[in-house]
Amino acid sequence: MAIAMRYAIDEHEAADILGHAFVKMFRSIHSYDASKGNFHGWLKRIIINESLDHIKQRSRFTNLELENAEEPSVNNSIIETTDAADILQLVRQLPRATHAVFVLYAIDGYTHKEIAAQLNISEGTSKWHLSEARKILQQKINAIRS
Amino acid sequence: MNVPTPYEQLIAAKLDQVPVPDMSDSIWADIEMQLDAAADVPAKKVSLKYKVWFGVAAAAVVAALLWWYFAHKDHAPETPKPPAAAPVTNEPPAVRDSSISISPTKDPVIPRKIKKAASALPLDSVRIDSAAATPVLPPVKVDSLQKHKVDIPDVDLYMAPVQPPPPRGRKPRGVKGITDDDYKLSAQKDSARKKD
Repeated sequence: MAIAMRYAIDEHEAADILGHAFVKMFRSIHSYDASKGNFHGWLKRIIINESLDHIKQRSRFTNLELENAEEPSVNNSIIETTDAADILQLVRQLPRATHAVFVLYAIDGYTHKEIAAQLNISEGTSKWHLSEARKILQQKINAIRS
Repeated sequence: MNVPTPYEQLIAAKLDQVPVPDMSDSIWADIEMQLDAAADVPAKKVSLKYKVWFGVAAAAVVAALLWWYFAHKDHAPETPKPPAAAPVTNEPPAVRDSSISISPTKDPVIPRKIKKAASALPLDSVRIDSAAATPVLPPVKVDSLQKHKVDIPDVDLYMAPVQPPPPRGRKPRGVKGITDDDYKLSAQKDSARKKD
């Protein structure tokens, strides 16, 4: 549920994603191969794929290329002192595509190449979305400090 | 750019601490409903498949029946038409001075060959109804020119009015040629003879 919560914009969408992901899991349980990975990782992948399908149905990914971008300066102490639910709300305020790229990259550890393959976009577009997410989050976190 | 920044790692750690709402019941109900719906889908597909087959079979039967009907309709013998009633010829009014005398009689008409007068009739004008087996004669016309040139002997030409054939199923009563008057007996004459 926590995985679906990161990608969804509210609890109801997260529950919907989780339900669909479990149905997929039950239908394809015969294809699970324990030698390729543990069950938790397999189920997590199903939930993330279902979340991305939801996002792709509801948003368009802007095809913008970005090779290099400046890393934003964010005071870590602000994040540490901020409540987890508020941090989640900040992330959910990002545009859907930017939100998805940010969660995939920063939280679930996907590379730009993997994100590009998952979302059918270019790596440059994935980088652009990540840069956008960082800019927006920097502004919002700095707004909390002020 | 390709490495998560420290604050992103902090955000990831914070998101793992997000409390998860207790929606397990509704989620499981949703899962159950989806699985039940998925189980119903194959049954519906089978019934639809059978419906399609029944429809195709019914269409084939209808097409075969139509083909059979039209194929036999073309070769079916035509039903004989009921014999038409013999037309009544319009007779010209009888003229006393004419050589042609028409005596009315109620006997059935038997066509006679007219010796010379018949030659005056065009062959095209005589039509014979094969079904009724009775000749249909046009009204007799007297050729005045031919009358003056050639001496036509007196011929008794009987042109009786053509009566429609008696209705089928009824036989004529009595003996032909004997009427009810022939059976009248006068009792007085017979009694007088005996006295003599």
